[in-house]
Amino acid sequence: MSALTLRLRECPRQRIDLSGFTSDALAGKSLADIQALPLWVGNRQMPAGDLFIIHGHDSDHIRIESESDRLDGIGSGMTRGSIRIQGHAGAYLGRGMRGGEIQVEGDASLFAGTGMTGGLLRIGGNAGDFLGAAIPGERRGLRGGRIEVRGNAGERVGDRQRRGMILIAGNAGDYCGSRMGAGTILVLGQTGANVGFAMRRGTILLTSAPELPPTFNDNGPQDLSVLTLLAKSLPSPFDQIGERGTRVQRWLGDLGHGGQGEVLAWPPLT
Amino acid sequence: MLTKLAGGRLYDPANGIDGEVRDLYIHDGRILHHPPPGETPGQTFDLDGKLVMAGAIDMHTHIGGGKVNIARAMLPEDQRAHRRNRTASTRSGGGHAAPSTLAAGYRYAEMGYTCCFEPAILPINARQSHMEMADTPMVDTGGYAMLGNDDLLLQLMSEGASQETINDYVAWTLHATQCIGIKVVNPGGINAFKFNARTLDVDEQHPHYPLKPRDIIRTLSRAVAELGVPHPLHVHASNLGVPGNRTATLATMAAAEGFPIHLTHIQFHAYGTEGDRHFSSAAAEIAEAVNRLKNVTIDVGQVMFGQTVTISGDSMHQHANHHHAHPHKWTCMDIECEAGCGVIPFRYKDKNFVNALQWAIGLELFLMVEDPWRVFLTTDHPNGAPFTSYPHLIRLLMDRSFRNDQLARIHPDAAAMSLLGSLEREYSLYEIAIMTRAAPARILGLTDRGHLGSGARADLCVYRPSDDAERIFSSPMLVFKNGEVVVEEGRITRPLQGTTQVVRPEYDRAIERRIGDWFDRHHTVRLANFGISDAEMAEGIGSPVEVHPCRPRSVT
Amino acid sequence: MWKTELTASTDHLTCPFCGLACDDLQLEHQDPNGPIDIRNGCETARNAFTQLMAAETRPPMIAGRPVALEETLERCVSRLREARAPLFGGLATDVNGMRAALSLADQCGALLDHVNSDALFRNQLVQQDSGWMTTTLTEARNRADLVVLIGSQWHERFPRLIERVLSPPEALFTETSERRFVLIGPNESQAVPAELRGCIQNVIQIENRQIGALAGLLRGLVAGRPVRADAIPDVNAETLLTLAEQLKSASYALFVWSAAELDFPHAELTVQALSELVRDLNQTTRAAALPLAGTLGDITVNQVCTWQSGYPLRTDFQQQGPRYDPMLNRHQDILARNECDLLLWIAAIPGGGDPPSTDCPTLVLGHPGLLLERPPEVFIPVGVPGIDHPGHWYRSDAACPLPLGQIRDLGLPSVAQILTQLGQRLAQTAQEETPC
Repeated sequence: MSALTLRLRECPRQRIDLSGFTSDALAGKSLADIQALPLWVGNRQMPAGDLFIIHGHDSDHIRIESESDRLDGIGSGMTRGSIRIQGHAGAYLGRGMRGGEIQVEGDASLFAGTGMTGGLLRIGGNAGDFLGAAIPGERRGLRGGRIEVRGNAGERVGDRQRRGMILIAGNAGDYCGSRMGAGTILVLGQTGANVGFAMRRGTILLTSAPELPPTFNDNGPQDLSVLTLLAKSLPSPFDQIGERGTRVQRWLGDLGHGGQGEVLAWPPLT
Repeated sequence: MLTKLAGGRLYDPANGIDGEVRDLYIHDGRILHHPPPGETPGQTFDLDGKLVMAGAIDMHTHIGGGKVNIARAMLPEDQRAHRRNRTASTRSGGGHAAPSTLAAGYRYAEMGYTCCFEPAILPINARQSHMEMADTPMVDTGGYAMLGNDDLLLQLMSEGASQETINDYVAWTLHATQCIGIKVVNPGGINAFKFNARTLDVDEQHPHYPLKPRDIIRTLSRAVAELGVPHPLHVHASNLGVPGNRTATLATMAAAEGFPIHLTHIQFHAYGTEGDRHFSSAAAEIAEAVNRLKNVTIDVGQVMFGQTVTISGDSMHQHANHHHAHPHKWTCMDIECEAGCGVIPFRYKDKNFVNALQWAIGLELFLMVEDPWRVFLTTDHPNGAPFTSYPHLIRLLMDRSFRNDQLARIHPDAAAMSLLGSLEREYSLYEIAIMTRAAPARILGLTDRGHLGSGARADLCVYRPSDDAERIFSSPMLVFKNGEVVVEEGRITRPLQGTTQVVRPEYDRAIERRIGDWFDRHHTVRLANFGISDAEMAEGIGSPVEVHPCRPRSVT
Repeated sequence: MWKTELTASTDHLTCPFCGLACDDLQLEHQDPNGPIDIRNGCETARNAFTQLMAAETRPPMIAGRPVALEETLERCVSRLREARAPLFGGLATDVNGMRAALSLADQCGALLDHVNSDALFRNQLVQQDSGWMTTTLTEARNRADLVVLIGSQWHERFPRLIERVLSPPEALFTETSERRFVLIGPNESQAVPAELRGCIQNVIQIENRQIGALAGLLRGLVAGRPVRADAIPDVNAETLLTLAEQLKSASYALFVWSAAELDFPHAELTVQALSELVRDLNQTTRAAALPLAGTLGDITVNQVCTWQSGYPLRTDFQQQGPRYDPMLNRHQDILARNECDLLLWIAAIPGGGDPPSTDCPTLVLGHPGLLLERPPEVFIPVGVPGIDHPGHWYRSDAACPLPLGQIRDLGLPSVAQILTQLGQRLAQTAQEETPC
C-alpha cells in the first residue's frame, strides 16, 4: 500500500492550516474526498487537491513533500499512524499529538510538539523557538512522548514542559528550559543565556557549562549512576552521552521561584 | 405595520394571565390587545397554542466592564474552544465562560432574553461598561453603580455627613454613571483589603474608617429608598464563600432596618459549618428569613458543574480564594479609590463535596423561598455558570424527577447533607415567567416591559411547548424586540442595538462642590470628565438612554 | 467632557499623547484661525497640540497624486475585496476607530496588530499565563509608601508621572514626604529626576536585561529561600537584603515599569518575575504593580479588540471567526515573511513613525501632519481624536477610559467614519455580486 502523499504544488504566500490531515481524520476517506477537503489559505478556502498533488491510499502513512515553512499544525492531535515530511514543516508541528510518529527531514518552525502527550516527533533539521513549550494561555507544554532534534533548537525550549523528553543534538538558544515543570531536556551542543529561568522541576542535561540565573545554587560534582541507564534508553546519536560517564556538575533552581529543578553538565571530553 | 399573534398561550403574571389562549397585536413597537380601528394585520403568526411570554430579563449578569474584559483576555483557551463564526447578518466572536460582547448578545437573544443588567459598574469604568453593553447587540441594557467601598463615601460617613448629603452623593453617582441602581460589594471590605485586612464581618470595624459594614448597608439602603429609586440596594454581602457566612447574610438583611434590600447570588452566602467537613447548607434558614422579611428580595446565583470564570468586585475574597483557581491563574486589582476586582477561573465538579453541595444549596433556595416575585433566576453569570445554562436550570426547577436524577450523580455525602431530595416542589411555567420576566421588570421599575399588557414594549417570545423545559427555553420559535422579529428558530435574523436603562433621582447640585473638592485634591481624573452625558451615550458610546421614573424623593 | 460642539476654552482637556491621559490641560482657542494656548500639559503635550494644530492638511492622494476622497475610497474597497491576507496595522486611533476597524476586519478576513504591540504583549502574556495584581493611578497616588521604579525611561515616557502620581501635593493614606523610592535599572545617578531626589532610598544600577534575574532573587529573599544575595555581580547584597525586608514591611509597595522600555527578547519573563514578586508580597502585606502603557492607544485598541472579538490584538478574522496568535501574528514578522498582501495603516495620532516599508499595496489613514518618505498607494487624511473630533481614550492603567474633546473643525473625517464607509461599500459590492 502506498503512503498517502501530498506534494505541495507551489509555496504559498499565506500559511496553510493542515491540522485536519492526520491518520485519524482521514481514515476511511477516498482519494477524491481528500482532494476535495477545504483548506484555508489566508481568507479564502481551496480544495486540498488545488494546493497539493495527492496520491496514494494508506492514510496510516502520510507523506508530505514541501519546501514551504508555512504548513502549520501537521499531525495535530494524532493518536496513531505516521507522518513523514520531506522538506520543512511550519508551526505547531505535532501539536497535542497523543501517539504515532512524525518525522520531518528539514526544519520545523515555532511551537513544535506543544501540548504533546505521547508519540515520537523527530526533526532532522532545526527547530524554531518554543519547542515543546506551552502556547500563550495554556499552562503546559510537552506532556509526554519524545521530541528529537538533529540540528539546533531556538529559544525557550521546553517552556512550561510538564513531562516527556526533548533531545537536541545541536545547540539550543536562550532560556532553554524556562519555567519547566517536569520532564527532561538533553542538549549535546551549546546553550545560551538564562538556562532554566524560573524552572520549577525537571532535569536539563548539558555537555557544556551553562549560563544560569543567579538564583541557581551549585550543588557541586555528583556521581549519578542513573545516567548510565538513561544513556542506554536513548536512541542514536543521543546515546553517546554514555561515553561521558556518570560524573556531572549539578545545580539546583530556580530557587528564586521556589524551584527544585536540576541542571546537570558533564565536563568537556578530553 | 400591524402584526397579529393568533392563538398563543399567554403567560403574563404581571396581569394575572396563566396560560390563557389569546390573540395579541403588535403595532409601532408596542403590544396591543385589539387592533387599532380600521387596521388589518399585515403579518399574522398562527401560534396554535404555543407559549407566549414577555422577553426575559436578566437582572444580574457580568457582561460589560473592565473586569469582564480581564476574564476574556485571560482565557484565550476558552475562546479557542468556543468560536462563533460570522454569518451573513452576524459578526464573529466566541467564548463560553467569558464570551465576547457580540456573541453574548446573540446568545441571549437566541434564548429569548431582551434586557440584561451588568450588576457591578465601577463609576470610573462606567464608560467601558456602557461601551461593552452597547456592543452587546439584541438586548437593552443597564447597570448598577458600585458604592460602599469608595473612599469618598466612607470619608463622608466618617465625618458624620447627613443622610441628605449621602443621598445627594448617591443620586449624583447615578446620573454621572448613567445607571439604574446602586450596588454594594462586600461593604467596606474591598476597601479594607487595601489596608491589608483579610476579612471584614458585618459588625467588624474597618481598619481605617470608624465604620462597620452594617453602617454602610443601613446608610445606602436608606439613600436608595429615600431617593425613590425603584431598585433596592443590590448587595453582595460580606464573607462571600466563607463557611458559616449565613450569619453575616442574616445580619446584612437586618442591617437594612426595614428598607428594601436585594441580596444577590445568595447561594454563595448560605453556608453553615456543620458536619465533618465544616461545610453545610444554611438554605433553609436563609429561605425562612426571606419568606418572613417582606423587604428582602434575592437572586440565587446557582452553581452548575463545569468550567467557568469568577469575576467579582470582591478583591478581598477573590484574593483569599486564589488557590482554587482552575486553571491556576488569577488577577486582582485595586481601582481608583473606588473598589477593586478579582478574576479567577474555576471549575465546579459534581464529585467535589463542596461544589456538589453548592449546587444543591442553590436549588434548595429556589424551592424553599415561597414568593416567586422575590426570587430571581441567575447564575451570577459567569460566577456560578455561564448564562447559557439557564434552560437546564429551569428544567431542574420544573421537573422533580429530572432533578432527583441529577442529585443521584453528585458526591453522595453532599446529597446526604442536602434537603434537596425531599423537596417536592416543581415550578410552573407561570412561576418561571414571574422569576424571569415579571419580577425583574418590577424590581427594576421597568413598567414598559416584562409583561404583555396593552401598551407594553413589544419584547416577547414564542416557545414551542415540550415536556422538557430545557428544550422549551433553549430555542424559542420567535423573539420580538421592539415589535420586530429578531430571532427565528433560535437564530438571529435581524441584528439590532439596544438602549441603556437609567434612573434620574433628584438631588441638590451643591454636592458637586464637595465631590469636586475631593477630586481636585485626591483624584487623577477631573470631575468635569467623570460624568457621562446623554449626548456621549448616544453618539460616543453608542447606546442612547431611556430614563425610567423614580418615586418622589422622601425623608424617612 | 464629551461635547459635540467645539471647545474654545476649557480647563479639562484630555491629552492623548501618552498613556497618562492627563485630563487637566487648559486650552484657550477663542480665534479659530489663531494659535492655541495650552497650559498645564507637559512639553510633549504642548508641542504635540501646537504642531498638529499648525500642520498643513494634505488632501487625499493616490500614489502621491491629490484626488477626490471618493476615488481613494473606491480604490480601498477594490483592494480590500481582492486581498487574501489584509493586515490592519498601526491602529493609533480611538475607541470608535477601533470598533470600525474590527467590524471591517471581520468582514474582510483581516489581521489586526498595533504598532506598539511588542510592548503591550510583554504585559499581556503575563496576564494570560498566570495573571497578576495591579493597581491604578489614583490608588498609587494615595496609598504607596514604597515605590520601586524599574528601568530608566519611565520619566521621559510619562513626563507628569511624578507630579500626578508619585509626588503629589498630598495623599490620603500616606505622607508624601515620607514616600520612599527605589530605582532599579540602568540609571546613572545624575540622570535621576530632580523632583524625586530627596526621597530616593536606593539606586540599584543594573541592565534592563538583568532585571528578571534580580526579581527572581528578590522573590527568593522575600520568601526566605537559600538564594545568594550577592549572586548578581555589581549589585550589593546588603542593599537587596534590606530591600526585601522593606518590601515585606511596607503597607503598599508599588512596582512601576514601562514595558516599552524592556525591549529585549522574552521580556515577558521579566514582567512575570516582577508580577510574581508582587503576588508573593500580598501573602502578608499589600503590594501592587503599576505597568505604564497606553502610548499611541495600545491599551485603547486592545480593550476594544478583546471585548468585541474575545481576544487581544494579533487576532485575525481570516477563517470566518477570530484566531489569536501573539507569536505568528506579530505584524513585523507577517510583513517580513511577506504573508500579507495588503497593508491598511492607521495613524491618527502622531508618534508611531512611518508605516513599515513593504511591497504590498499600502493604504494609509493618517493625521494631517503625517509626512511619508514613500507615498503609499492611498493616503486619506483623518482627524486626530481630541483635536478634530471627540472620542474615547484609555489611560495606562486600563481602568479609566476618558472623553476626548474637539478643538477645531477642518472637515476631516475620523478613522471611524472612513472605515465604516468602506465597510458599507464592501457590503454593497458583495450584494451586487451575489447571483440572484
